[in-house]
Amino acid sequence: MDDPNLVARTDVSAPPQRESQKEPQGERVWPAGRLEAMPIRKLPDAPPSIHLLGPTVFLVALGVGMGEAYMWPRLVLLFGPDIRWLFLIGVTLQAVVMLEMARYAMATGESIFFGAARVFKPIMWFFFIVAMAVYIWPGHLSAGAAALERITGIPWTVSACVGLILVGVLFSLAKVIYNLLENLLSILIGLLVVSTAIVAAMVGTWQDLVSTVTGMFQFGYLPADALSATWFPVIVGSIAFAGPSGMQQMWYTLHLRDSGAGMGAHIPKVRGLRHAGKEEQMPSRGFMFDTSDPAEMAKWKGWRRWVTFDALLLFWGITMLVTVSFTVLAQAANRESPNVKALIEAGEREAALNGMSDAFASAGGPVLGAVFLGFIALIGLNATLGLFDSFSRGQADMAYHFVPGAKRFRMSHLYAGFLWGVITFGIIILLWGPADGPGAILDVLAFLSTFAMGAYCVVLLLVNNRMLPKPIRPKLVTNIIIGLGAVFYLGMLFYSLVRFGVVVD
Amino acid sequence: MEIREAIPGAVVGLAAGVVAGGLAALVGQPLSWALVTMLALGVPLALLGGGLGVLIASGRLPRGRFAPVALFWLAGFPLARLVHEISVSLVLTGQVRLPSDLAGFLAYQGLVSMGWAIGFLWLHERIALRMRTAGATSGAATSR
Repeated sequence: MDDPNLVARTDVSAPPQRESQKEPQGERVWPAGRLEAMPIRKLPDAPPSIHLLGPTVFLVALGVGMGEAYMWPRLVLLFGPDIRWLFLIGVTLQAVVMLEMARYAMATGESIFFGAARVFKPIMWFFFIVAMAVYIWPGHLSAGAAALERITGIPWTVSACVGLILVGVLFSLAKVIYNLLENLLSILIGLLVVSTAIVAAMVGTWQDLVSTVTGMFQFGYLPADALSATWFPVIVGSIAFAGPSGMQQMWYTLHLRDSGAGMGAHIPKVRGLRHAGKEEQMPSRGFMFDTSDPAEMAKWKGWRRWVTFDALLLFWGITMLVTVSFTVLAQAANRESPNVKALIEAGEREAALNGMSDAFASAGGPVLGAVFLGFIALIGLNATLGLFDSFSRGQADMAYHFVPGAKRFRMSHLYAGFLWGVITFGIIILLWGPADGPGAILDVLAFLSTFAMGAYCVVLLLVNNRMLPKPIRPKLVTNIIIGLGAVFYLGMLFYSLVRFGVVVD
Repeated sequence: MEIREAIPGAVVGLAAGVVAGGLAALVGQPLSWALVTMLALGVPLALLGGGLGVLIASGRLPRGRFAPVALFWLAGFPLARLVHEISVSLVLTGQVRLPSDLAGFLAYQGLVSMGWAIGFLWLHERIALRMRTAGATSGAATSR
């Protein structure tokens, strides 16, 4: 089979003009906000819209996590499949957010953080601080490593610490980190999808699937228990975890740029520490294409088709597939072993995951129990790889452009600094501290993570409607959806806080 | 027509069988059971996956499109699962047993095939890309 994207990548890997080349006197620029104006450059040709390989793999790796494997199957067992209409809304909203994140990144080659700084610098610093507060804790490693411990017997702190060091070494040795990670995650996600389909095919039934799928269209269904102080915060957390959560969508703009999508082709790629010396000079801002040129606008439409395919089939489709499959598995386990519901209802996450594994084992033999734990370990590995890269990429981007004096370093050096910083901190905390963060601030971290999602919807509205030229701004319908997204996330978060005094769970 | 075109699809199909059989062995199932699972599922999927690659290479199915692959597996995946079910029951019990609700079974497998098709195509592209890159590199080295 052809890899149409390969051709396009070859094209965009050699952009027509780089920052190091001299800019002609009096060149045209696009002024956006109070920061440096963007010079006009050529937009590369778009790849064919039908493709499989691309930056969406990062979003899928980050997004298909505990929400899909654990939180939503859990809610289905507790409230029935009809509760899944909330998941449909959550993931569909995330697909629109993804398209809007891509709009700014592909049009400018800048991250959404840079876009936020163009609107108002403190907004960007808010995200810088939230990332530091929320994502330095290694708690996300615990579920996957604990599942690995159940399969192999290796203590989870050992595998987590070894995994952290391996990730650091791997990223430091890589020539171009994006290429290495895209290859690795593509294989891992491919295995996850294929294996999920195989297992779902072997243990699920037509009735499970029908009830799971039709449950997604029972709009408005909310049982009385769901609105209790115990369960409403859990539902809010589950909606926030439907697809990518926290700042993951914002980091996607950096992966899009490094993949060479749109005007990202004019920005050098981040290299591993060992090859940092080969990195080209990073420009101090992004670029804009000539939106008054019909030929350029035709190319832009091609890029929008390309990312729309990513959002609908790869992101939406795979997220739905994995969560539907896990829900089918949970229903099969519950049918065979009714005590699974009590286990899941009562347990905290690790206990409930083990309970689900035991239930699967009793429903479909020990194979199914191990398969479930294997999936959890695989999901944990994907998320860890994606998260460490994304965190370091985002912080390095903001630091490079906005911390005075940071431009003395290369972007790759800053990336390595944040990467090894978070790894060292992670190992210290895994060995001697609370993995999820100090108990006293857990609520604050959960609040910030969900708040960031409402906040980036507002940022998207501001950035895409004020910083981009009119011909490529979002349409009214898109703005309404993103606006509703902000109301959805922030509204539920504050309702939960005011009504029940609990943030999210 | 090169047989090489069949390799990526066959590898993905076999890998699916190995995943199923390997996990069975890992958790202490009898080796014979694991082997039957691996072969009964892996071989049909490998044959169909390899066949799909050949069909595309020969131009009978369009390249770079998701819909033809999804349609192919809509028929192929339930067939492979049916072969798997029958083979396992035949080897383990000595009798040919069809699933109790055959229509429901096939319909369910048909729906799951959509997910399989995405995963298959995703891995297939990766392996095919590697083979092409390796081929191009060795070709360039030979021509020097």
